[in-house]
Amino acid sequence: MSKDVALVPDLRERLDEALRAGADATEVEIRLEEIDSLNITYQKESLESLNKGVGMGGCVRALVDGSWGFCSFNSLENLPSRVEQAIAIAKALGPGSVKITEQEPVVDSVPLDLKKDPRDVPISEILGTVKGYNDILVKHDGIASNYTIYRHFHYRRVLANKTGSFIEQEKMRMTLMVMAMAMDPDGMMQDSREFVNSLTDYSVLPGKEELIEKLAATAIETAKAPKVKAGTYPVVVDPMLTGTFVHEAFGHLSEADFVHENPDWQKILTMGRKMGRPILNITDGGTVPDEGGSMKYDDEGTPTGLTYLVKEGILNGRLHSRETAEALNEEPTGNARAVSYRFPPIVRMTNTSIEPGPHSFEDMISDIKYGIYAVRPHGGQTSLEQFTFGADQGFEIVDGKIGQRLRNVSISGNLFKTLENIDMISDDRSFESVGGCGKGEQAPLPVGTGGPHIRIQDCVVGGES
Amino acid sequence: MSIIEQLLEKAKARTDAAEVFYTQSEATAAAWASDRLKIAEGKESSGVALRVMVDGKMGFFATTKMDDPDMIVDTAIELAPLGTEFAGEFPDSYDPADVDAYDEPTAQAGPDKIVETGNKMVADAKSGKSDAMYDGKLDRTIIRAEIANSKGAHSEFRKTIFEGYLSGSVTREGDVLIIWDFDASTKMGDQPSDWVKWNVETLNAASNVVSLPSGDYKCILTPKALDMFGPLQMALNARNVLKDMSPFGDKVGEQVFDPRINLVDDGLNALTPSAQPIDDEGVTMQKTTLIENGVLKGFIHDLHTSAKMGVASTGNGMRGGLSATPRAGFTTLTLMPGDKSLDELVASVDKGVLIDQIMGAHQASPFSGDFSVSVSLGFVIENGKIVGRFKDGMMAGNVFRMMKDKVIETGSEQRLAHMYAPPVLFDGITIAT
Repeated sequence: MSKDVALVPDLRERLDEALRAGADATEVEIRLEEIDSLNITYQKESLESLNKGVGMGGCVRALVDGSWGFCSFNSLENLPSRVEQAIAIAKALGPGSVKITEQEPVVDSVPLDLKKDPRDVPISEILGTVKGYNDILVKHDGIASNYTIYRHFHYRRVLANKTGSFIEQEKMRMTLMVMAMAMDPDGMMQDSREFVNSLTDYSVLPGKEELIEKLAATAIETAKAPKVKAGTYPVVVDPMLTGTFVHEAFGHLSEADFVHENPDWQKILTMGRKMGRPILNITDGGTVPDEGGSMKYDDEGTPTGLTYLVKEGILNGRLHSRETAEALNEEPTGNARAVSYRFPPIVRMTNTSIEPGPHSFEDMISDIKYGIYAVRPHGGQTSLEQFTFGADQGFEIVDGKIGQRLRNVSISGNLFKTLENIDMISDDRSFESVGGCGKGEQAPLPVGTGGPHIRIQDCVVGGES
Repeated sequence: MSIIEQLLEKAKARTDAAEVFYTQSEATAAAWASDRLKIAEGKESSGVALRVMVDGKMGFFATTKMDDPDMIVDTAIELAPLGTEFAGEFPDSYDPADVDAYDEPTAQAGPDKIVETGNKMVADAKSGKSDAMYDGKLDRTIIRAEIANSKGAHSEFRKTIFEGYLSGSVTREGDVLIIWDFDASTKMGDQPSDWVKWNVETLNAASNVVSLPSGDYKCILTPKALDMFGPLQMALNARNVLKDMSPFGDKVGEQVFDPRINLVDDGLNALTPSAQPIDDEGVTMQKTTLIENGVLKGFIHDLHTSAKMGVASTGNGMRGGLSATPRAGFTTLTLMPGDKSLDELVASVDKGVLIDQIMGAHQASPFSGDFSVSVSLGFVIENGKIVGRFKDGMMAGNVFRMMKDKVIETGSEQRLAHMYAPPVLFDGITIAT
């Protein structure tokens, strides 16, 4: 399947043998994983870390009498005893209520199709490229300090279950993150960031000098910019930040694991409920090509797809594992994901997006007397109904035109009100796969987030008075 | 020969210096969701990390695949010419601090004990407030670590960690309330009962929703609501001083905070999970004074930064995971307590707010201290009494200015959250609703 040597010799036979130890379980899954990573960090003028790591490990999850037992390990010796251990743990819980959907067994191998593999590039060459970008910032007047970070992370996973599925998949992710810092008028450091990432091609990383020059200029301008004044404004959100918004504010609410045993939430999130205006469509799917959450199968072996969570403003679907789908009598959607072999799969997003709409960016700002244009994400968080997210860059909109820069733009609100308040959606969509998602202790999980420009009326922006 | 001896033996002959760090852990955990026990877990992990010095440069490689020592040594040596500067020297010997980080009863807590404790926790919470639903997790870990270097220094230690949380939620159309309490310690004690008591009391107190006009208020932040204080850690870390990223770089001996603020980094507090006898590069763990009566005393150091700045390492060489090199990092940043209990702090406020949970701390600017976060659990105080919960608020400010100009006083009851800290009463904090 790739230039890597097989994870372990006679893998299929060994896994089949181990699964036989799970005869009295409803389901047994064995996942094995091989990881290799490279991390390079420049800070100010010098190399701060060059960390190479290689890892291997595995886990077993067993469903016995309605309860899950899970164990994880690094040594791949004696896999049958690991199956027995997971079963013993499940039995320690006593009978439970968990049921899972039946699965059509899948036997498949999904090799990576990389245009340029970073593992074929000499580390000295990668270091040279990263240092080149870093030097631009070091030499730039007005830049007080800086970070340049390169990472690649590759994994190969094998899933075998008692149902009869046997799936091998791999994934690569390359990220370059550059942070430039400039002093604000109070003498404090303000940061601005730029990202380049690819899931398939190292050759997009070199040659980005102009982008870094632009970042330096942005950082200096941002540090000088006045802070946003707290208030309620019409806010126009750029595609990258729209992606973060839909992920944080709506995506987590679509994950069926908190809803499937909570009747109060089921009442609130009844399919067919009006969520927004008819221009609003929200999707999630692992089949979107070459983004952070793209995979052919999830970590339970369910084929991924594309789920319409909101269709023409109406609540239409949610994200499932085998367990949540069975509990709500719906179909699994291929959203059971684990951040690594150290964790059981839970319901997670893949690539979440607001679908393009009918408007143009110019339409959106033209009738705004005073508003905010919020650009690029700077983190976000949700507690289901309430959400918050930060913008890396902000601008005033004055009399229908983009005005001066603002800093510290951060938005919060109630999800249901905010979705209703999206009154315009542009026709230009883009995807980003920079961020990693955290849920419980499982982070960072690679996800894709996408969207067009959106306009939100009556949006609460925080700030000092 | 152990893997550690093999790696040192092989590396010694080909490098100027070498250090091997080995870690092994075993954990038992169980999780509850929507009032039900969902899953129990048994986790084992082990791995090894090698640092080598060749001509003044450091090569590093870490792996959980320990079956090929030659490959591990070759990779580290191959990376050395490209690697980072390391100004420090590996110690001649290790001198472990006397800290009680391994607790036998905690180590003995197996799946049965974890499941029984958690089942009781959820059942007690349910009987305390039945219209809420509860999620929770309990996790007990035993860690064994061993470190050795080519100068012949060798040390090993064990520690236990018990951690977990209980989160109650009440879901109504237009009002979703989610609260949580948690702790992490080297010892499994009465934490689950404390979480039950707090969840039930807080859910009851939160049932009355009141409105709060936007404005500047006296504000009590509990330790859980100090999550946006990360820039303080950036400022007090010698790594950032060396990179001109700390606003405190040239301010040792100066009054940087209110005189009531005392900050130490405490690597020896067994009530927190970072307590251990030596740090991840073998330096004795200690308690380091950083801010005394508001005056900056110094920074946290690892072997590299201490050599660069001509001081001793403070025992803060931390590995952020097996595949990361040791770097100056906090053990437990501790804000020293004042005199008043939380109740007394509340009683001292005529008109203000108590904030216990925030969201969006990582949206804040990591260096400047500017923040704008969303309040996910906040209460209105009138005439010294909590009158109800306010919703959908945002709080904004700057953590450095708050610590310098806005401290009224610190409370007496410390607990672990972002810092090990008591509640703090501030003046004039902007809340937008």
